[in-house]
Order: sequence, then structure tokens, then C-alpha cells
Amino acid sequence: MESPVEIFCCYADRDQDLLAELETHLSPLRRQGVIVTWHSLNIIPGTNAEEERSKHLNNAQVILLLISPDFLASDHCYDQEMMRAIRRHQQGEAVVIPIILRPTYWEEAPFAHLQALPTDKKPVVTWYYPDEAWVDITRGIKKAVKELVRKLALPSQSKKSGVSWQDSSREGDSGKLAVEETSSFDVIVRCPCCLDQFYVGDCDIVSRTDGRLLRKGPAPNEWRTPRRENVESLTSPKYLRQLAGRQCPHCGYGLPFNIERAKNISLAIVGDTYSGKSHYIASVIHTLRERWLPEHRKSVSLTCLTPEVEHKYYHDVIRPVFVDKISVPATQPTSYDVSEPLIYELKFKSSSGEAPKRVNLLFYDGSGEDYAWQERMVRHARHVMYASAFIFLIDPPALTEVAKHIEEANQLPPFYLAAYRSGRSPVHAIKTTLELFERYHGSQAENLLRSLPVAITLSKADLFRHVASVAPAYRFLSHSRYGKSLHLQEMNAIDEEVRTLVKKYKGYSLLRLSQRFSTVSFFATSATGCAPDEMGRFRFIEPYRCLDPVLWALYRLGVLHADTR
Amino acid sequence: MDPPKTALARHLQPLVGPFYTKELAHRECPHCRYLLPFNIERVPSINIVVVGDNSSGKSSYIAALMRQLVEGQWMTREQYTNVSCLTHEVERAYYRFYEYDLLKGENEPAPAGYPAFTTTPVIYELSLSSSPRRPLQKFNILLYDVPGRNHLSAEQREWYSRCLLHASAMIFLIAPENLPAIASSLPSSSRLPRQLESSELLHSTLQLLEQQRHFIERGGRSSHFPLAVTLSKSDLLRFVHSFNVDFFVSRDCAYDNETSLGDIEAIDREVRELLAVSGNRSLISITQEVPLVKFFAVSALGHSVNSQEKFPNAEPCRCLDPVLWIFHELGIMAY
Repeated sequence: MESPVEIFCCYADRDQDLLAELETHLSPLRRQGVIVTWHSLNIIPGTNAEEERSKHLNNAQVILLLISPDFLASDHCYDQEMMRAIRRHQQGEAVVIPIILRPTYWEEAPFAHLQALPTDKKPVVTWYYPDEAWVDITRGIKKAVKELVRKLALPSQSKKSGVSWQDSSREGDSGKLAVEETSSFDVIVRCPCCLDQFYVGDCDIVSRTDGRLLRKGPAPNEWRTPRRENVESLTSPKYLRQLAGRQCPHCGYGLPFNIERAKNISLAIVGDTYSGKSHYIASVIHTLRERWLPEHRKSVSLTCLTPEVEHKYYHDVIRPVFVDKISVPATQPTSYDVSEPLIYELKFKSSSGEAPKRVNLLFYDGSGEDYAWQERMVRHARHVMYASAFIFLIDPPALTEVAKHIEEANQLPPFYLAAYRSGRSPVHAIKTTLELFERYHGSQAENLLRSLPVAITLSKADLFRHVASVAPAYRFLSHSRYGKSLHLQEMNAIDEEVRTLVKKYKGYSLLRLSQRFSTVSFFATSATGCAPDEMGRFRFIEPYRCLDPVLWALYRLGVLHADTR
Repeated sequence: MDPPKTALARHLQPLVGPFYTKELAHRECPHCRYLLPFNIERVPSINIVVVGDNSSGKSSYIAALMRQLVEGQWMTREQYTNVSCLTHEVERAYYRFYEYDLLKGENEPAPAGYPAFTTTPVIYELSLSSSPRRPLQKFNILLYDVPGRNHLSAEQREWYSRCLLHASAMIFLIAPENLPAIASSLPSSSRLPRQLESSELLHSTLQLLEQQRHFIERGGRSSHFPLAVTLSKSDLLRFVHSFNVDFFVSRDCAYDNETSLGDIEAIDREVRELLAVSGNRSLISITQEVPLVKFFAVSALGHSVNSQEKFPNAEPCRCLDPVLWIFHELGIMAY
């Protein structure tokens, strides 16, 4: 017989009577050995209550949130038990079920997206016969437990076919790419180009050497055939010889060869028209290759999985900036609905003989106009909805006080004030992105925004050499040391420095907006190291601090380790 | 404020999620086909009507107010606050009017409000949260540009009455040029042709409101209705001899992360005093019966026209005061 599922009940003290009623109604399931329940009243006097509570909260497979106004008002229930429960749910470790006990305004609470009980969410105490509500709740819990037991049984079956399954609650259409990690094989993935999800077994497999179709995806009427269910690995010799790759069944995009095996990390680099996104991306790639990789060559390899996109990017941006030392014009608004990202595979070699860990870094470049208006963003920059991390670029002259100083200093070409003269708020692109992101993810947005790393980055930081009357020794004006590990302390110091700077130049809107995010840090970077002259020519190219936001985001996503000393 | 919408929302599919967001979907009003804000079924609405006669500067006031509202200098540091526009087309029309027609003088400053008579409000979603870990509280702020009743056709009057009936608060704008005792002190370029006196317009508006509120009270709803009587174009007051230049109203308010009700109390006293001294006591006496009333003075541009009949630049002064007071009275924000 299988061991019973442990159910943890989170409740407010005032709801003890209702908890007792729930216990009574759950007793048939307990007698059958299907469940065991645990709540704070089970704590034996003399034991460490907090430790005990924490142990059961971390071990329970099902967590019941007994919702009432007192529950939401209690800091212990809300901040400690509920938030921990929701994190475990997001990580696929537990199933959280809110039980609406008393009329409460819970529609915008962090658990609002979860299926609550009773079935029509009518609070238990408002039922004419409350026993009917409890029966409905008991049935709902039994169903959830049954489904959980079924899911727990699945991995052993799927391992036989080399396929691991994901928790369906983590893989909805609004799920984020950051969690799409498996050690072996993902069956449902998202196309980096059209951003639709698909089942890997539905893809055509084509040769990258001559474009030949090597294996046709199943026809729509073949949905339960072994042909569809057996997802083939592309590492066999016959596919390797042909450099075979899968094609997105929706848009025909040639997917990276490792799409089903590597964690995809989409870094959404968002900024207004003059924020310098293209220069920044070019500089990130350049610094990754030229400075960061040599330091980590023994443990990491970097491979471009989209050589054609990289070639075009090299021709349009990297070569003009880094070879010819010429500024590139602003990226024009696109008319295409899909955009092909630059994709790099970071492979971490393991010394212990385990399979190397891989992540794909996805960079999308777009016009500032695509991030300025919701109408354009939903068509041309939809990738931001699936971002694993945000890097918001702010052009310093968009802060009015900085622009005034630049005007006074009179040392820079007038086009540097374009952002200021556009009259657009420095937070315009961030706000547009945030509004759409919240609408797109609905009730899940709150939780996603809590976990997403957000790097608010002043681009063109070299300008501060001109605007500060006595240029202080800002740390961000020095070059980064990309040693063996990430220097978190230095990043924290820069975060503090940039916040102070933004405050000094009255960028209150930026500081206020940053409060919306839980994992947020401020950065200042320069993609070129100096401003171009009136002809658009740079005297020299010495980017600094461009990798800081990227490395910090990777650290926050658990890809890199940091030196916290 | 409209009643909470949770009961209704339970039965409606919210227009969020990938499917609706990709299309930027909106519901359409079944009566007039107006595209409603996407969150209409979930977020309570606060209807603020800006009423005033022709040339009281309603449109320029609303445009300046929008700018200050969105710039966000008024927000406190302690809590997360965000304002996002839900009617971009209307917002752009106001900005166009403010930046091109008024400031650059590409068109004559229209004496009757611009955008021309419109029943379409500009709508902002106001989100508040005491910390990132707490759920957001959201409100839709609807700003209606309402001309004086006497300037409307019969059909428009019906809309006017409905607008007032559903209003959560009112900002009644009075141009100093329309106050006879003040108008005589103004330079000739700032004087307007004789119009209906502002006190008469305020009186008729309050009468209508009283009839409606009485009806509302019988329906069981609250009559908690803030009225902000506001002198527009406060920059003109420097021409009035009885006006003390050291008055609070003439001081710029940068809304530098701090707003206190103390300012608002001081301004209320000053404007009342000004009206009393300049012989416009009727405005004060008309509002005596209104339980929640405050007097304000604002300037949408901060300057009067210069010798070339142009505004030198835009430095809106105290435009947010009436709205912040309304937010306070409606329990949305505390200061």
C-alpha cells in the first residue's frame, strides 16, 4: 500500500472551530489511509513549535490555506506560511489549495490564480447547510490527492521512454522560460521565434547541411501513435552527420539543436529609442567572448546556436562599433510579427563525470518604439512576456536633471539630448512592459514579478564624467574584474551608488517603480566607454560594466555562483 | 465611488491572460459601443467631473493635471504607486492640445474646450501597495471634461445630468476673468466677453446635484461627495491689487515626494479670503450647504500670454491639489 499523502493546514487562530469541522469531514480519507493531516494544534507541548511547523510545511505534499480575513491579516499566516506554500507550489513540490472559509477579499491575493474550494468559491459560512460545503471540499481534496498520486507514479513510467514530465501548473501558456529546465528531456517547449508552445514529438527533423527532411512530424490524426510519443534524441550518429535540427511546427523556425535539453534563459533587454540597446547587446556579446570566457575557459564553453543571426548582428552592429568605431543608427521599428533571437549555449563542464549543465541565453534586439506602445509590443516584442529576467536600459539624459547638466556642460553633441527632447518619461518603456506583463499573466503576475530578476541599468554611464561638476570616484566608472567568481559585494555597492545618483538627479519615478520588484538591482554601464563625436565616430571603444547586469541575473536565476565575501 | 465589483466579476471572464492580451481585447458598451477599460469588471471606478464654463480652462487644466499625475512626483516614498493610462487616444488628444495648440500656438487657444465637446473620459488606472509583498489595490480614475450646462444642447444636457449623477467628486473651475470684481483688475488682453456669472453656474450645478443626491440617498448610497471649487489661471491673480503675492497659492508646488493636507488647508483659507476681499462672497455662500467643500487655485500653464500672445513655457502650478484632496476624502490615499 502507498504511504498516505501529508496535508498541512494553514489557518488563523480565530478559525480553529472551522478547522475542527474540516478535520471531521476529512476523517473518512484519513481512515482509508489516503491522507494524514497536520496543523499547529498537533504540536506537542515542550517541542520547538517553529521548527516543527517548518518541518511539516516543507514536507507536506498538499497545503490547505484556510482563507478568512484573519488569515490575510495575520503576518505569520500571510508572510511565512502562505508565501512559503506558494513557493513550494511554484517549484512543483506541493499542491496548494485555498479553502474559502469566510467572506474575504482574496481576488488579488498571491494565491488567487489557484483553484479554490468550495467549487464555486462561495465561503463555507455563507452556505445554508455548511455541511454541504465541507462535503464539496472533501471531494475536491480527494480529487487533488488522487491526481497527485497519479503524477507521482508517472516519472517512473516516463523514464522508460527517456522522457520526464513537468508539473502542468508550471507549464501553462503563461509559464516563464526560466523554469523550463530538465536534466534530460523536456517534452513541451516554447519556440524562441513565434513564442508558441509545442510538443517536441510534433516537430519535423531537417538536415542543416542540405535542408533535407529527415523525419516528418506526425499528421494531426496520429496524435496517440508511438511515432509521436517516442521523442527521438538528435544525438545519434545519423542526425549528427546531418547537423539535424527540429523545426517549430507553428512557424517553421529552425530550433536550436538542444532545445529539449537546455534551460532557456530569455534576457529581455528593454529600453526607449535612445537607450542604446543594440550597442549594449553588441558589447555584452563582445565582453562575454573577449573577457569573461578566457577567465572561465576550463569550466565553461560558449557556442552560438544561431550563426546566421549572429553574422547579421556582427555585420550590422558589432563590426561597425568594435572595428570601425562608428555609432550605429537607432534600430528601426520592425514590421514582422516574429523576431529571431541571438542564442548562445553556455555549457558548464563537470569534473565529477556528470553530464554537463547547459543553458541557452536568448537575446532579442528591437526598436525602442516596439517597447513604447502596447499595440506594438504585443505584435513585435512579445518575448518580454516570457522573460526570465529583465534588463531595463535607461538613457541618462532621459532624466531631466541630467539633461540640464549636459546642456550646461556643453561638451557633448546635441543629439545626446534626444531622449530628453522626446519628452518621454524615463520610465515609459518600463511602465508599458509592466502593464502588459501584468495583464498577460493575470493573477500569476504578482508571483512572477516577485521572482524575476530585474536589472535597472543606466546605459551610457560614461556621460557622468561630463555631468558631475567634480566627478566623484564612482565604482561603476571603473572596469569590472571578471575573475573566477562573481563579486556580489561590488555589485551591491554599485546598486547603492546608482540609487544615490538617481536620487541626486531627481529620478524619483525610477526609484518608485523599482519598488514593484522584489529582486531588483541598479547598474550603470557603458557599451562603448566614450561618447561619439558629431560625425558619430568614437575615439576609442572600451566598454565597461556591460556584463554586470547579465551575470547578476544569471546568479539570481541559479545559473552562476557568487562570491559573497 | 462605485460599489465593489467582486460579486459581478465572479461571473465574468477577466480580459487578462495571453489570449486577450495578444489582441488587447476590450469589452464594448452594449448601448453606445464605447470600448470599455479592459479591467472594468474588477476595478472600482472613481468618476471625477471637471465642470466649468467656456474659457474656464478645463481642457488645459485636465492636460496639466494628467501630466502631473503621470509624472508621479506627488507619490509618497513609503508605498508603491503607479498610474497607467487606459485611454491612450484621449490622452494623446489632450497632450496635443496642450503642447501644440496652447504652447506652440499652432492654433488659436480655443475658447471652448478642446478636444471639442466629448463624452469620452480620460481614464487612468491607479495602483497602490504598501510593499511589493502585499497585493495591489487598484482604482480607475475617470476624468470627465464637462462644459457648463448652459452651453449644451438638450441632448448634451441629458448626458451632463447623468455625468453628475454618477460622479464621485467634482472639480468646479472658475476663471478669474469671470469674476467681475477680479476681471476689472486684469490687463485688457486677459479680459473675456461678458458671460454667465460663475456663481450662477455653480448655483445651478449644485441645485441639480442636490436633487440627484437626494434621490441617491433614498437609494441607500452614500452622499459623501467632495467638491473642489477651483480658481483656474491662478497666475492672473498677481494683477489683482488685493492679492498678497506671498500667498501660498502663488508658490510653486513641485510635489517633491511630499504632499501635506496642511498646504491644502492654507490654500482653502487664502482663496476664501481672496474671494471675500474681492467681492465674490456669493461663491462662498452658495457652497455653505455642501458638507465637503474646499477652495483651490491652480494654473495649468503657470504663465499668462506674453506680448506676442504666446505662452512662454509650461510650468503647471498646483494642478494636483484638488485631486489629491479628493483621493484623501474618498479614502484612497492618506497624507
